[in-house]
Amino acid sequence: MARDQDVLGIGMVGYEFMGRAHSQAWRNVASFFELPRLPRMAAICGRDPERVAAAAARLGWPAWETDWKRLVQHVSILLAIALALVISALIGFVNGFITVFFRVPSFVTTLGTAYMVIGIVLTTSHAYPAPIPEAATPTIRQWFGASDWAHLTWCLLIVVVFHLLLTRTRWGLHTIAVGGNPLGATEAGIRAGRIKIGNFMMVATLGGFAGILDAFRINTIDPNLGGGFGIMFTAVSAAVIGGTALAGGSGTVIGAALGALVLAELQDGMNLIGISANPYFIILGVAILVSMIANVYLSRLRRAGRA
Amino acid sequence: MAGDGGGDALRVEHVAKRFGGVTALRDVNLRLDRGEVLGLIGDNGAGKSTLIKILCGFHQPDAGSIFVGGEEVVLRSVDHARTLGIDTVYQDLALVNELSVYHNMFLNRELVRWPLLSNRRMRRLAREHLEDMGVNIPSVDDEVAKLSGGQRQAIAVARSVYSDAKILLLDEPLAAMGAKEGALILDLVRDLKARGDVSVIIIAHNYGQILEVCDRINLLQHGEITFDKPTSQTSVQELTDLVVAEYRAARTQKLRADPGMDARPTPRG
Repeated sequence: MARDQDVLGIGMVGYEFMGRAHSQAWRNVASFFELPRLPRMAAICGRDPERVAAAAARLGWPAWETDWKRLVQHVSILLAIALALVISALIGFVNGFITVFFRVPSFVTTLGTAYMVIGIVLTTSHAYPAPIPEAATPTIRQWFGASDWAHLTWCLLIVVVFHLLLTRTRWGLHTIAVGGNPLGATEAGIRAGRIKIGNFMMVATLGGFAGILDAFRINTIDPNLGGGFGIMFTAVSAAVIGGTALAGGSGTVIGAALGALVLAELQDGMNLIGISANPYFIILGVAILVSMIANVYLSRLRRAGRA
Repeated sequence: MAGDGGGDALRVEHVAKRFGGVTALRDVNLRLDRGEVLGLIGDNGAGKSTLIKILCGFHQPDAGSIFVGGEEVVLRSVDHARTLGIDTVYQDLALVNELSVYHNMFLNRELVRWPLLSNRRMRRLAREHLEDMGVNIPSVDDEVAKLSGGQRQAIAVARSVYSDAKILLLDEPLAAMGAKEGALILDLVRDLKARGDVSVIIIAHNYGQILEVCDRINLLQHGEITFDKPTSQTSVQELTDLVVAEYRAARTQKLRADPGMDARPTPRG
């Protein structure tokens, strides 16, 4: 598997007559022609699980699936990761669309879709963890979360890129404008809906990416991971502690990163000095409240100091 | 008059607008000459802000035509109106408190060296432009939240002027403004008039101030223009009487519909 570039993973949809014909062609093509890459029959896909399983055994496919999206994982892990990110972005689009056009508060929209998505994941997986697909080479595993350095590297990269996006580009400036004064931004000709939906899509994509990193870190794709809400609420807490106003208009990427650092250090530190991790949530709760109160109080002070 | 040679900058014919069951504008006819400053007055709810929001492309009229520089146009959006040279200073100023003065000056017209903003250039140009216009603020780096009402208003006006607007719409630029700050805005408008290539519509409630800078006054009542005179032929007294007469007429009508109303003590005495 290390010489991944020399192998071409094949996934096939369909197992009736043409499926049989193609299976036999893939099996023999390498002995017939001189090929630049060696085909590897990865998995076959069909709608009926029993019949596709029987076909896989008969035609010589090592694995089978009933969902083409999962078939893709057997073929190319990078393609599968890209597909997962695209699906994440679509979820973000749905969130943004509901928030912008039906004027549902974003917190409620995302709560609703979060439950829905978790429900879909649990239903389709029957709540069983899925293994990391074997098409993932050790290099890919390490880069996407199995190594010690992957998380930190991605984190720094993402923080730098999004810090620049927020503070140095039109998109970032318009994001702050739409958050701070939605009507005013619209009057200035900024398309607030587009900015909001775009940001929802970016956040959702990053959320999907965080999920991928975590799957490779624990080396299994577990649909039960903290009920799905653990990491999410930690992320929201980190942003809030870092000075992000949930109503919009203020907040920095670096602040959110520092917030995440504080929370992680807190949890880790409590483990290291041997205190029970149970009071962690008490401290987290107090930290959120104190930082929000300070936030409101400080901005009032700052506004009082004008003129 | 300034408009003698150039013809009209903006003309509105039979424009109407409804919001659900409420008729905001019934049948508006209005003309703005080139280089002219037109004062638009009228009671609260007469439809002044609706008219401004139609002229700047924010709302689309249900009926009627709009002509810019003699050509009929359909203003599709704020951006579209802006490309035709129509720029607006809204009642709520459309400033973002969280952003610096210079970012507000260039809001949605940012100078960019892709993919990044040209902050240094915007900062320098904003400072120069505000100095040119005589607007005094501590620093263009300050957040707008730190500034006074008059300074914010001045920045909103300066922003529109900077955009090279040919037609400037000022929605109550003098509201909630001290005497000194009001004078600053009026001076800005006078400077614009001296330049001669900008036409201005000002909405205001202070008739004294509006008569100081305007060439002509229009009164909007119940969604129609009911009065149109050059400033030289009218006075604060006449304008006040017109608006008060409207209030009296409305009250008489209400009394007729509900005679018991007069018997009740009125807080205004």
